Amino acid sequence: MEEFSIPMMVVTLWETFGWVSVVGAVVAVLLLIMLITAIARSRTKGLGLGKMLLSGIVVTLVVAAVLMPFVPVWTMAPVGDLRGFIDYVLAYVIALGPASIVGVSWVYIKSLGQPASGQTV
Amino acid sequence: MTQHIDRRTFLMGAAALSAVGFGTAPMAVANARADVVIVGAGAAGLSVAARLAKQMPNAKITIFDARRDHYFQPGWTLVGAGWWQPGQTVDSTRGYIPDGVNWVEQNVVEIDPDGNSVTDASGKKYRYDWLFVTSGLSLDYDKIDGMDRRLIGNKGIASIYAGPEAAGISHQVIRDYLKTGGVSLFGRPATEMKCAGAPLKMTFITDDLARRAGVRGNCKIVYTAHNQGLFAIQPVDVKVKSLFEQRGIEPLYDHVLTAIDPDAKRATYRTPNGAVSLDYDMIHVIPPMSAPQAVRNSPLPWQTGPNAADGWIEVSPENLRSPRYPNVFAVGDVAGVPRGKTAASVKWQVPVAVDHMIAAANGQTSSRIYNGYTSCPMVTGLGKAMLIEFDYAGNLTPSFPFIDPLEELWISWFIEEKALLGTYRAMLRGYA
Repeated sequence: MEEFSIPMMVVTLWETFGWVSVVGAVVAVLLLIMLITAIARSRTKGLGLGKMLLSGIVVTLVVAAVLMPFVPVWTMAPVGDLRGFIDYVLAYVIALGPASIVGVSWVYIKSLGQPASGQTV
Repeated sequence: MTQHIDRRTFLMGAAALSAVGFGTAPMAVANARADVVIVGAGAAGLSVAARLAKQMPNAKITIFDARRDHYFQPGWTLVGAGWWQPGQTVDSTRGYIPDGVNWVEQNVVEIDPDGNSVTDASGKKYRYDWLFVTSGLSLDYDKIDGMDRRLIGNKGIASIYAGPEAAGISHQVIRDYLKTGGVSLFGRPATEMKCAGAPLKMTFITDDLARRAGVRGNCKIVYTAHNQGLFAIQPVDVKVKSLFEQRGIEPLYDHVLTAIDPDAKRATYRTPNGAVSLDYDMIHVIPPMSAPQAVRNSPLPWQTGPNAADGWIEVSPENLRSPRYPNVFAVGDVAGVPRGKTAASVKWQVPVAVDHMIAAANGQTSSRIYNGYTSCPMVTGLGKAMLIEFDYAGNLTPSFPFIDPLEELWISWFIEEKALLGTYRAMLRGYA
């Protein structure tokens, strides 16, 4: 690890996942743009930003929990074939990837809505 | 070809990141105009070439290997299990030859360290200032009486070591065995060998496949150890013995395969009590291994000690440099070091050896040391493995403190199945 570097990480990701790693990076940028757009829009509309983000985080965490048992299938292992605590942690972290797509989409869709009656603009 | 160009273009981007300062501590560089010869374009040879191309920009680097395909050998256990296809472990050597490095598509047949030259199979002689021997090793199937690598796939004989196709055919042999049941024999040679965990992995995998197929009761799985242990590292040995007991795998100690009768399906072993013959329905043969002939015929191997008999090259275990020929380094399987003929060893050996060579070319000495680190993701079944890492002293040296090396975990399987190949390829390019 003494030679750990960003180029090493980039090359390793590329050699592991090929173009999927590029697609993943593009999706991550798109999600970031969607999130920033949603935050800006909710501020303009006077929507409850904190509540909206919190609900997005909850949606992400719940979806990740649902997806977690299916992560081993990605490595050809049976559904739910997790053994130690660290297995669950890694599977959950991996599941956060697709779950964040759902979570950010949730926030984005919420930001398209109208302020609740009684809220000021 | 398109993929090759795309890959190269992409990697140039990574190189550019280094150039603009996203790299790590600066690597030692030598600007000398030297002739560097690399014998063998396997994992070690390509990694050395990639690093030298960066660290010795004015050198004339020549790499020798007749084989056009590059093999990801750590994947062959997964092919033998039927979980990977053979093609997943095959790549083009050309795609990993760094720009500016001359690839001679010939094997080296003679090494003359006294004359600082090597001779290739066409008879052409090449002089060098610095030599890296990264030739890998020789699989000596013919040292087992009655065995021939052409038998792999026939008469119940499997052997994942002979190449990707052999690994694929070995899976067919295992599948056929699971249909009929009976006795299967696994084991390892008494010589030094590459990936000493693979014989155990294939034993565990066959047990796992039999259980998943619901035929474990029809299969008697026997592991023949060449000495009193199943693994050279004591805590791992204890763990593997315990797993064998749990899974009903029968160990036979002090058994070394010496002969095979394919028609009678009978294997003969050398034991302390004389020759013992065992009948089998399937056998996984792992041949004795030695340094390639060109190395054995040269003055480079150890002259005495345990590494002398099979021709492993005499080097300092700490920096892979020949004590008798200081302009010669040996890296990878051919190096006569106390343990570790694995890709993981190569990953840690190459930067040290190259650093010492660069320092010497600059008239300096390097303080970097290789401690014998090696790694064996011990697959014990589909979706589970133990990530075993250790050094020359036999100490477990886990890279990740949160991964218990003696516990069967999915995370260790994840590293084997998903992360290893990419890390390996990055290593071939001089990263990782």
